Amino acid sequence: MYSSLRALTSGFGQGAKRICATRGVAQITSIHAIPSVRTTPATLQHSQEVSNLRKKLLPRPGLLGVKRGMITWFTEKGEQLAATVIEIDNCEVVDHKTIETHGYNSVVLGHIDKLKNVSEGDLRRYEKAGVSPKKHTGEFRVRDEQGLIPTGTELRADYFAVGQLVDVKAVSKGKGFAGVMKRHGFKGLNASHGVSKAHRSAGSMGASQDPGRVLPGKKMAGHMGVNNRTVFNIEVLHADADAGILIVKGPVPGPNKGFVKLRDALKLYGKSDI
Amino acid sequence: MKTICRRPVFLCNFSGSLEASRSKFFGTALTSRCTVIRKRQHSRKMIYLKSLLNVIDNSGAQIVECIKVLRHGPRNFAKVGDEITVVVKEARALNKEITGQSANNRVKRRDICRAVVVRTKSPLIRPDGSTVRFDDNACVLINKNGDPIGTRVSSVVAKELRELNYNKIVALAPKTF
Amino acid sequence: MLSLSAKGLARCPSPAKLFSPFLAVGVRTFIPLKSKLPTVYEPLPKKRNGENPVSYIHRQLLEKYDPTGKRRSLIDQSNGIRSGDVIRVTYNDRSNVVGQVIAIKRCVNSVGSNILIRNKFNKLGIEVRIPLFNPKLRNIEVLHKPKKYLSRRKQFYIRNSKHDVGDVEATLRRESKK
Repeated sequence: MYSSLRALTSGFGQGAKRICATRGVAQITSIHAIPSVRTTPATLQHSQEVSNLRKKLLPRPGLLGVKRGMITWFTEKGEQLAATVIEIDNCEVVDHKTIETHGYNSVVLGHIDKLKNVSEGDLRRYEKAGVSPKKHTGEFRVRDEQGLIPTGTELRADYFAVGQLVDVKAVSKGKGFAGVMKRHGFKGLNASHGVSKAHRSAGSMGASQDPGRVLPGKKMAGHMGVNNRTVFNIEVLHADADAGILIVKGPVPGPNKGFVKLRDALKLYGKSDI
Repeated sequence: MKTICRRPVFLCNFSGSLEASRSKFFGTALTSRCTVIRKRQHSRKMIYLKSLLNVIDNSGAQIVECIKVLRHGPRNFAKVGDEITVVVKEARALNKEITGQSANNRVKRRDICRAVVVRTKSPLIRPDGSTVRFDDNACVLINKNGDPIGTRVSSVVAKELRELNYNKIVALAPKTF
Repeated sequence: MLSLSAKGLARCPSPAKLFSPFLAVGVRTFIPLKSKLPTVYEPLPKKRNGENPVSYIHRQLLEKYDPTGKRRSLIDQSNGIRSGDVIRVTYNDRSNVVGQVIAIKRCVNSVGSNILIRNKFNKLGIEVRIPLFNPKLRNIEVLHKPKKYLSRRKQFYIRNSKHDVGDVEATLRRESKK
């Protein structure tokens, strides 16, 4: 652009220069006087590689288990705690996913042996892994290749140390179509003072003509439960590998016989590469 | 579908590195985090605005009404060991002075005092799983330093007061539960 | 039926109309079964001989906290204590609590079982709920069994009624003097 301007001015000769000057435009210096500025190339934040780096991940996979019920637990000091019994039933490594094939590293685990009604594709998959067919499989992302435990390894309950903190993820109990008081903890309306058949209703939905509509995200009645829920940082109280029993402190989402995923506490032991 | 003899179970192979990883990742963090002090469990209810309590010391008050729970949220309630502000609703008559308390230290009707809850009717849950429930709600009047105004405590108090540095009240009480 | 079928046959279209590609194929091609069935590995041996994990862990805990079985026999439905008995609970630090049993909570597998006892001190009722298998407990002894029991297994109704307990320790002392 500078060069073209220069060509113009030179082409018009003296008169053209004068016009430029009268219009109060700053004098253009030589292009060689402007130092070159090197900018860094733009990073792609949306790429799989950068996303992998950014993701907070654990060095090793977790475990699959079955919630079996709650019991009373006494600590050595004599404190009484509520605890949940989780059964670790023949949890074995079934498969791997690697950066080359899938774009990320993860370990696929399976648990509870199942010998009936298995499709042939599944049978071949388990044959390849060298384990018996499983009822459930679950996947755990790991930070790098070191966390890829060889297929066919059995992970037992003492995989978690007693006293360490774990996260437990499960599908919560279904509550059906629930009103706002149960679902969102609204207060409902008055019991008296002329309230008619609306004691558990939500009340107002918003303003009048402005905005003239219900704003998106308004909390209303609807289906409640059957969501993935994670309880973070709960303590492991007992781990019996031979019996396949893991006991964690406090409650765990979901019904008894529900399928749970346990992992090391992400907030404590997880790390991202950035 | 054909069942064949299982391969040798592949267990020990990875355990070495598992152990290593465990010590590597959980060594220091575990020791620091796992000595989590358990919070004292709350009893479920309920001494709040307008609650009436018996006074079990010889300060002169008989029945008081709670008007404020101190150091709690606005919708919270007092349990054993919590400080509250009270209004004296009923006081013992002055002429029936059998306690030996000097007259200027006695509280009168409509006085506003501080008090500490020593018994509750709702079960007080202890960390060992036991619960204690008394038949009434009771308090002991205290001054701003936490010392009791009266010189005697006539009835039982909960054990928890000792942990909360109300040692004088515990020492004056005939029995703790 | 026969006649109907005969009619049907009679109405049958000509063979030319019946022609279809399926009939045109002379011999069905033979599709061989897949050469090899997948190998299925034997499952790992069952843990706990297939016992329910919760009952297994309860059994272990009971053996741990109650090796002699004394506490378990204490809350036995037929021979154990009942509401109305007077017991003394001694803790490891030698402190004790005396009271009359007014309720026993028997959990399914009994590790969470507890006993509710009631006593009076200076005419003030005090109730203590004691977890039976807490390792803090040193001993539970039965001091007195009444000749006649009140009705109900959970005797919450005796609170502040004419059936209410008195000062249990004083009553026992008086009776022992007699």
